[in-house]
Amino acid sequence: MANRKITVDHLCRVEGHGGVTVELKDGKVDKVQMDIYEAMRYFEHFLKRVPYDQTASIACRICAICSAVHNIVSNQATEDAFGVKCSDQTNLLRRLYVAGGNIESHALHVYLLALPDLMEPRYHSALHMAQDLPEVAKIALDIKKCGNEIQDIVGGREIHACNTKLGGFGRIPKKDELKYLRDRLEKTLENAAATVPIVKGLDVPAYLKSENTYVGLVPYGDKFGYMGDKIAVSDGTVVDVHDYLNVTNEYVVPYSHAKFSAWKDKPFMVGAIARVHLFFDKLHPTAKAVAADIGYKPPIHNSLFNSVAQVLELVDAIADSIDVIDAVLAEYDGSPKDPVVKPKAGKGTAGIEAPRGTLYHSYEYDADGNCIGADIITPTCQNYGNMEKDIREMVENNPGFSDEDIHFHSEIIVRAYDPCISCSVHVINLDKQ
Amino acid sequence: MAKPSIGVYGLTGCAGCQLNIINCEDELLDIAAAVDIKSFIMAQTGNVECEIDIAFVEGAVSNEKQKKQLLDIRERAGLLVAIGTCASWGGVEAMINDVPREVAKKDVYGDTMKDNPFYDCFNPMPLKDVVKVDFQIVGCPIERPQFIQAVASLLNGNLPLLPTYALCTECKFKENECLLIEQDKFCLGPVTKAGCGARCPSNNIPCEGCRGPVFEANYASEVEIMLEKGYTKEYIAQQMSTFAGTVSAEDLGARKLVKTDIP
Repeated sequence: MANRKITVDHLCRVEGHGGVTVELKDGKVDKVQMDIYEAMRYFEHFLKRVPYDQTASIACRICAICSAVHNIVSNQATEDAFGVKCSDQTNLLRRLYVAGGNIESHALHVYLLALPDLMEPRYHSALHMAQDLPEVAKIALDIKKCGNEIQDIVGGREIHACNTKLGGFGRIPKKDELKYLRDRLEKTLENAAATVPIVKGLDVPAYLKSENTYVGLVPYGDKFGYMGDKIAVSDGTVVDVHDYLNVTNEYVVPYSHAKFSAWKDKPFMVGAIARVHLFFDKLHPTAKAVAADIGYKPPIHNSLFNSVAQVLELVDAIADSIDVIDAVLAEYDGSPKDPVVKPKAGKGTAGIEAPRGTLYHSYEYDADGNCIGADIITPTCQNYGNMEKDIREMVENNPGFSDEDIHFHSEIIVRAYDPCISCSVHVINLDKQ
Repeated sequence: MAKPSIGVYGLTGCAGCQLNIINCEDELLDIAAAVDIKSFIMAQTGNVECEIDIAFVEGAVSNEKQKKQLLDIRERAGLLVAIGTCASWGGVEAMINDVPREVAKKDVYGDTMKDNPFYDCFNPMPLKDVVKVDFQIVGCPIERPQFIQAVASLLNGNLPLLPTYALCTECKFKENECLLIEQDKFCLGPVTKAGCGARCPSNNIPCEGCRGPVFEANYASEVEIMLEKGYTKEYIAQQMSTFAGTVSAEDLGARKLVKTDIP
């Protein structure tokens, strides 16, 4: 049999610049590689120059789609270094802000980036889809807009927050603004429910059958959520977030500007499908009802279902945000006394669940609060190994696939992970040995 | 008449300006109906790289491949619009332009990638250092209303009119208390281009200059005020380098007057 080489030069409908190469030798898969050629930006140098009160504002520029979580986890890592404890109201507002980012990002990915692949007929983009299905496009954009409105009102801007700071917020949203968001969320919950029949009818390919290893942060408390200080692996292991390097185990490959990760020498997966797998029981009752309606029940190991898991998370985030706003309004404090932030020498680490998986920030400061070291590990980096595994499996399980089929399905697989390539190539490593 | 054709491209950056185009939720479908989007890799498949009326380019130029791509876009585009602070000024990645990229590379990837040409890059530069730029929409990220306004103007054959004054003007309109004069905070409002509605100062957070310098920014006066308030030259230089390219403490004076021919 002839040798074949299939190359996806530029992955479309994903954030950032990357491609895929698949090589077959004598009909067998010889090589699969994620070619990540997003230009390097070397954030470690920026961060090593900045004072502690600016780390978050600069670190969030790593990525636009995940800006909210970069911002919050960066502040939390610095707070960890300085021993700063935030008020309950701050924690609730951060939860709301992160949910806003998640609603925006999931709506963008599910409805505008992934859906056009899984519809019959397939579309080049949501804008092309909108010509046939204007109502779907309008609902999708309105859900996305709600997420942006939360980020705008709570974070100060839809991308790259300018109202967040160490220990709290520059300005507490007014009661009227929170009530406005609550009304918007009620409407958005209806909109999200209206998309469930479409999600139910999606044509998700079934060729990915091997078992995934899932990793995610254990959410604080009884509710599903995106913040926690313990890392859970689906094999039962639990690791303290300060020991995140024991989970991520990064390594460098010659064809990618991003680093790869492995758990016990094997690839693993982070993101919505991992979180829903690990913490399904904690989902909001409204999201559980949608899961029952769709027929989504973990364990699910077909990575392509990540987009469906995102729909469950989308519903959870909308419903939970309504509860969060009620909790803030119940004990509203418009001009809180934020904790005093006093720099001291030392290290701080925090993890957060970005829309596309677990994100870690770790910093080292000198006694004056100047950043002297930074390490940031993004979810997309952790997922690259698993993407390669899935593409290999897709080719192996479909011996009849033409080059065009392999090209098309490679894109579908990568896109299902909701990758954020800018994030993955920020690259920071700071250990100053 | 055929619809004007456009392309949206991303070089080195966070994709936030492209995302803010997609974030025009209320207008996106109308924009898509008014123009023919030939290429927008972040948003669609089936892209065609042909002659276009308007190219919107995000991000700084930081390697040979991008330089070639930008020259090609310039060749094919009637108008080339830089979107965002990276494309207009270099952005955060230009903050370390006083450090050779080889040093940064070794620090991040170790020695393993030393001779791998795939890892070659140079100091990030704004588009205007490589090609002629017809118009700039600044911001980190760009403000959606300004993008929509720009598209509307361009579709009608005009160059858009965006604010050319300093951020302080907008801050005064909002009747905010001055963070610089009243609270001694390090605020870059006086030297930064307006257009965001003074977002940060309206949240009691000083302006960090993410929109880049305003035309004829009076850096000398800003530096003098900051020195009087007790900030060190190093600190001032670091703050001013965050978005608009590296400036050293010794070179602060060189930032006295920032001029650009690009509207």
